[in-house]
Amino acid sequence: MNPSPPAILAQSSQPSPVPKPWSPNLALARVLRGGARLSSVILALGLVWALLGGERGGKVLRPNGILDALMHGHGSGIIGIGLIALIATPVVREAVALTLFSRRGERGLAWLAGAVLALVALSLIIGAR
Amino acid sequence: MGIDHLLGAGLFSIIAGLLGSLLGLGGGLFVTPLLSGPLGMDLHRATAASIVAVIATSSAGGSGYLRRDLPNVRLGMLLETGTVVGAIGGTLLNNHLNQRVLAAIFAVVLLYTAVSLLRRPAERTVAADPLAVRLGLCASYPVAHVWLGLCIALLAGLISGLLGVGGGIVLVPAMVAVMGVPLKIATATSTFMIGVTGVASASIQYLHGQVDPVLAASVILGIFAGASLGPKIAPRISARTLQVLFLAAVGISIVQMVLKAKG
Repeated sequence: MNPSPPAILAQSSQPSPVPKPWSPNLALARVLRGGARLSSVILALGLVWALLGGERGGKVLRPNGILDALMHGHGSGIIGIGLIALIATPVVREAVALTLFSRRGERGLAWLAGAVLALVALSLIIGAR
Repeated sequence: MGIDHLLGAGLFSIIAGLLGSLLGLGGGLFVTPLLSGPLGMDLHRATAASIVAVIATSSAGGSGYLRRDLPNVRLGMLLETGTVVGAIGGTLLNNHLNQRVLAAIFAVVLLYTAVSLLRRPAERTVAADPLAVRLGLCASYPVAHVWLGLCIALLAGLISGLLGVGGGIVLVPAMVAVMGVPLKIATATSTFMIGVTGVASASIQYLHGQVDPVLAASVILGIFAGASLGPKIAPRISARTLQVLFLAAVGISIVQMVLKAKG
């Protein structure tokens, strides 16, 4: 049965939901915000712990020294974990972008994200040498 | 290093974060001269602390921009390949250059920053690069000169890795003047992408044992605190005051770096 003219008018005046174009922005924002918050909390805890323990800086710490620092109750060990969380945040963001663009079949952008991750891996290899 | 040095580093980082936030720059540009000048810290150690702070400001700032849909994520991901390669090269160069040469380069970059910020790049209409169209980089605006943009991104990464700064001061004017990206989008895209650029430098420096964790935590938290104060103070500051503040900060930083370069 055909709808009467007023019914047609009523239908056409209703706002039709316009689908928003797909965007990875919100997912990437969540990763960055989560990483920034987590790392700043760990860094703040570590700094307070270090200052209470009499640590005043002036000493460097490699990632392989974190466990040892933690075992000795040094706040710099906690800060070391915070630094790793901070450094990992953009890397996780890149990995999430790679996954999202791969799922969407956007191979060009997935390759770009993969290339950046490979370059970050290269920097880790250079740093470890 | 005593508690006075650590407190000084925290205080200077708050000032650097505040200035960076008010002027739309990362805090890295001001923190290194402040740490190495008045506090007399080694420039290599100051740049190592600064680069981890760059990651922190990029993650926090990039998240805010992404929520407002401002960055061109696709363009950012393309340019990241250039900045990350440049950052690796810059960090390796940083390890081989002495403090005096680094300080001289820093002074030149600060001078360039002053000139480029006083002469804001004019937005212009450009014809889209076919490569930008193929990669889907164009939004409501066309994106031009993709390869040239990539070369400039490489230079920005090199400066970032060398001096422990964000590199936005090179990237943003290039995106606007060369690639035709609107200023607001260029600033957001630069903030979004500079975090992963900083990761390449910070990873090398952290694994090489150049990062002082207690100093780095003071700098990061100080810059965070300063940057969060910026938006609250900005409405009360006139454009003229901001310009005077900027020139004073850059002027003092240049003097610090020239003194360091002279030894």
